[in-house]
Amino acid sequence: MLKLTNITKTYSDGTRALSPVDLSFGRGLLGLLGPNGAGKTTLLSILTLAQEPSTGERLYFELDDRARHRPKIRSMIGYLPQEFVPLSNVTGYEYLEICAGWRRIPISRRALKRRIWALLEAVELTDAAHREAARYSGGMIRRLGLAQAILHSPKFLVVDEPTAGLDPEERIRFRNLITDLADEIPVLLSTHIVEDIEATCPRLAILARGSLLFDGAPSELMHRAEGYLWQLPAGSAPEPEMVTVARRVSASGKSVPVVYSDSSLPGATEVSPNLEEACSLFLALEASQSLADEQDEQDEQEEGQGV
Amino acid sequence: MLLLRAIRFEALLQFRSLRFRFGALLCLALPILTPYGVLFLLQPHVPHTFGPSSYITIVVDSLRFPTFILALVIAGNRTDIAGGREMWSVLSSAGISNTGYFLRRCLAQIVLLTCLTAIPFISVMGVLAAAGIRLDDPWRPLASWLLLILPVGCGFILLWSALVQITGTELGSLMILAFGRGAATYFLEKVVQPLLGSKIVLHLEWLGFQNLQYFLVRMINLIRWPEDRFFYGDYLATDVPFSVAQLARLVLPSVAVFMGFSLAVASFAPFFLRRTRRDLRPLVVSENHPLRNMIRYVHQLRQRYSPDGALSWERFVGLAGITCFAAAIGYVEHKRVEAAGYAEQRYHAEMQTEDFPPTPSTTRFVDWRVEGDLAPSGIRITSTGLLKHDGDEALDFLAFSLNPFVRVSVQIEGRRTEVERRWDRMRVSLDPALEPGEELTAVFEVSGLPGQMEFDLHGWRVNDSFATRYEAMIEKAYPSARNDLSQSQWEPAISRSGIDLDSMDLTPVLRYGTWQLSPKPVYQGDPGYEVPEPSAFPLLDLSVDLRAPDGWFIGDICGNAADRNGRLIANCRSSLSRYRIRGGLHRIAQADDQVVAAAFPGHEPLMLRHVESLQSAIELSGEAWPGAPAIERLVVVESSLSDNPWFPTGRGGWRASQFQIDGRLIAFNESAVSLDRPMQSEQIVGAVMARELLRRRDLEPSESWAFRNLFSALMSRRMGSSQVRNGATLTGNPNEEGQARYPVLNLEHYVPFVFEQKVPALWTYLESLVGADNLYAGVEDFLSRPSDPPGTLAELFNDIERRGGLSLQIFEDSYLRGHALPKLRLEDVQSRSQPNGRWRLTGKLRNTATGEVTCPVVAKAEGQVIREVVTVTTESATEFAFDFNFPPHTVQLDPEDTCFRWVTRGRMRVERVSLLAGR
Repeated sequence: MLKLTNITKTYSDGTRALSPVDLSFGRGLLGLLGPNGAGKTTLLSILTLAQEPSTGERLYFELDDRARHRPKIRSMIGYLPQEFVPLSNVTGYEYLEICAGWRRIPISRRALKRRIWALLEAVELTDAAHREAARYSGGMIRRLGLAQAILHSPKFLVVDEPTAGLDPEERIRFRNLITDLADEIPVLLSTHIVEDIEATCPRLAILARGSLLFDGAPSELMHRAEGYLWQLPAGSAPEPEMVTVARRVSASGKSVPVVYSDSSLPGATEVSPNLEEACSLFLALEASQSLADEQDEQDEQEEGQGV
Repeated sequence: MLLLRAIRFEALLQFRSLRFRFGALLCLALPILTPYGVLFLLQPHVPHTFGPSSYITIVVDSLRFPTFILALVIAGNRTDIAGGREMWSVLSSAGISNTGYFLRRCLAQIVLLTCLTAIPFISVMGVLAAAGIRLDDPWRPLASWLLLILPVGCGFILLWSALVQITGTELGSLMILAFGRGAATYFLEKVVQPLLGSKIVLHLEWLGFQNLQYFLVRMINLIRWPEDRFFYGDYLATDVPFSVAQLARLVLPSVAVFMGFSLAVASFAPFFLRRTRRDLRPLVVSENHPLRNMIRYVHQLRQRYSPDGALSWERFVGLAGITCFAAAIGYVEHKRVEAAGYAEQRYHAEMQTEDFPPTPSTTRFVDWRVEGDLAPSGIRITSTGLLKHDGDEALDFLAFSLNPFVRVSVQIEGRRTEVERRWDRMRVSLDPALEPGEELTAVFEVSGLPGQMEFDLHGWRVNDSFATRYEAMIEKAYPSARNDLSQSQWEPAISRSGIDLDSMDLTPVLRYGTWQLSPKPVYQGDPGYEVPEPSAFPLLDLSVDLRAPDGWFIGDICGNAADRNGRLIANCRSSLSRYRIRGGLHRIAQADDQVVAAAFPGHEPLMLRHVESLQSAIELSGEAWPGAPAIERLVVVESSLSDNPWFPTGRGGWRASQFQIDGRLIAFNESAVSLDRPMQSEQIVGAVMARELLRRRDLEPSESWAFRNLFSALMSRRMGSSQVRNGATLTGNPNEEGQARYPVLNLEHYVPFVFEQKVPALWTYLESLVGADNLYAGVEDFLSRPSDPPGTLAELFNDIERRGGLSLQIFEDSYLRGHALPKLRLEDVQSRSQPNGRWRLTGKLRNTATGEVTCPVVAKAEGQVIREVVTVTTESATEFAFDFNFPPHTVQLDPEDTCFRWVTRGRMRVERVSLLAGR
């Protein structure tokens, strides 16, 4: 079980990247969803010991994050970074061999060789094992990245935006690999592609502006959004004060807006939200709330200055 | 273990790179093949045997630039810079710090480059071993590799890795490198030099491009003129036992400056490594902002170049680099201050000589004993002498010359002494004064390492004296216009390069001539002053007992050589100021009663070739001058081409004469020893004979120098040395004519050129005037007289004149004391048939210059040769006429080269007029 308690991060220039975040997860797949700049990568960096939190505690399978535990904790972590690029001039097999060197995996050369081949087979790179890794396609590079992340048999895996830029076939293949791994170890999948979460994650956390907005099952998120989404009739435009959450294609084949409202709208039809719309609703509401808060703060400042 | 793994993977990564493979090929092929290419090119043209150091030198020369290129290639092959930013996250999660990875990888690259650059050295040593060329001194390749090759590779790997890491691109790094160099020069000139008030130049030419340029130019020259000694001389490197200390002294400051700077920059680079996102707040800029593009660009730069903030042990690396850099700069400055101090001392000594008058010539040591130890760390000598004062007045001081780098203490029995030293001058005040006719015993204790400081005063009239050049330098207002005295070099008299100690290095030597700066001879063109050389060389009974380190050889001018234990014991009559010891880590090539020859290790067979020739010449010497003392106990020592292992192929050795003779000590220059034919042994033996002959009688001290030169030329001629065989004519070019016009017996106008050509020519002419037997008898008469009074030049020529039975006054006045120089030509040569059927040839011999000359004119017809001696005076013409039975066809002027005259170089040596065309 991994547990982050009361984690905050404020950079030296005053930027608050994470408000207090509490997150714990065990075996299975946890999807971490959030827009760009939400603090996902900061959270992952803190989780993988690449950065220090300003406050808070980290617990890794009963081990706290004090210095003497860190080598052991690092050996537990499998990490696939967002923009993973292997070293050039080496083949996929050699790259894994190099990574094994970095990790100082305490097994014999023969056993290591067996493990690398097994991993290459698992990520379907056996045929490309002796090709230069830098010439792999985007999907193959991600799969190689996944192989390096689990090469040392980590106790948990952190995957940052693994499917961005991949074609549908590769995305599905990659999702399947992650899902298989999640049967054995805890996997944290950070992404802004809701579809990946929907297809794989039994549990979802939404991060926005450094705060955890939601932590639960996707169905629960959808359930919470029910009754708040209204599809406007074809041809009508949303009022300026309305929050547009998504667009749908109407029966007549036209694109119509879906807006947020806590009461019925004249002419509009209530719709059942899908996961993407539910996420959008949460994020849109959070954004409008933040905007309102900022406006209030500004008003207060102006009043204080007598403007 | 981690480092070994890093090296393995570095090799794997680099060998996959095409440009690395190209660079490595260049780095291996060029230095491995060039030595054999150069030798293949040179072998048919060069009359020398190449020693092992020549191979090593070519490897070093050809390897330095490829090493520079390979270092850039290796350091540039860091894929983790642009493409693999997120690799830092992978490394970080593996528990490897970015700094550790960066520096470890630099280290792995350095190890890789080190291995590659060692291969050419190993290869050449293997080839040398296979060819049977012995490499006795492993330090030669090892130190060259460590000090001349590795710093280039290591320094540039660190520097280039750091620059590429900081700028992100190789192009940017190149720009920074070019800009940085200019900035450093500007900083030195505008800030450091005005601050120090002197010039400081960081000599980093050896690092890269200049080396390539130098190498290429030399190769091109070699291909174009393979037989020209001026060019191939660069490839004949000295085989003198290698002195690591000397190379280190020359190179280490530059190496330390460069390595320290590279380390400091390398330690700065980890600031720019990325493993996480930068801790920067994005700059918010509205879409309508007029400078939005610029602000965004600035932000991009800020994001790109702002340091990561996470640091660890690279601080220590940086500190080490900065310390090394500062220490090197400090050492360079220390060298400058030290050299400037010495230069100032020497300058003041040479400019203020009033306080240091010379010792009167009536005060002499009658015997002298020198004993002590010689070692590379220094000497410890005790010398004792019996001094006799024959002057008319009491003497309260003695003036000595002594090497300025040794310490001395003086004890004179029954007197208080006070020693005052000024550079190489020493004044010992005596209290009470030395009364006329009085004798005393003086004891001197000398310790320290003698040597000389070669001040870097290039650019200031090379032929001028030190004082003139130094004065010209310090008078410059701007430091940048002065010389960087830190480049001055200290050359110890005892080192692995050899031992070369003259008497001034061993013991104080009485100075008779003035130290007063005297105007330079006008023929040298540039005005200036110099300290005159000693002109008096009184003989004394010299006793020497010196001990050299084990395994070292020493020999002295009395013909004595050290025994197996390195002990030199000598008793001879010699001039103390001429006493000299040479030697070093030589091996004895031959040792018998006649000659002891010592050569550098590996050169023994080369030396033997010359020694055999020398022995043949010695056997002939009895015939050349009947009654001359037999030549025995000659010591022949090989001397190095250059004392400077930094430029082991320097041309100094090539410009030096092939041999140097000091009494019975003959130093063969290495370039002469390596000749594949014997040297001019007759000339060498002739010079030795001349000294032996002159020892038969004491000579007027002020003329002893002229005697030595005259007798050397005479004996060379008598030995039939090929270089002076036809020496009656004086060849040259018009520019040298002025030098030839100076009187040969005038010390103030000594010109080596004149003595090399004019003196042998005059002897030939004199012999043609008086006859060979009369000349011999006249010289013998002179030498056979008692020593008291000392012989003079006037006496010598009187003796020759008397034996020859004719007046030599005109000859003496014109050529020995005067500056006559005849230039002869045939004029108006005509041949007419006579009514009696015979032919009459008429013409004139014209002297267009000065001096009376008697010269044969030879006319030839079919089956008839007529020779007539014609005398012609200054700027006049003398007619001659010949009668022939058949039409004459040729008239020749002095075909046997017996009359003294000037012949312009390049002209036909025997001037002739052909009459065939006009008939």
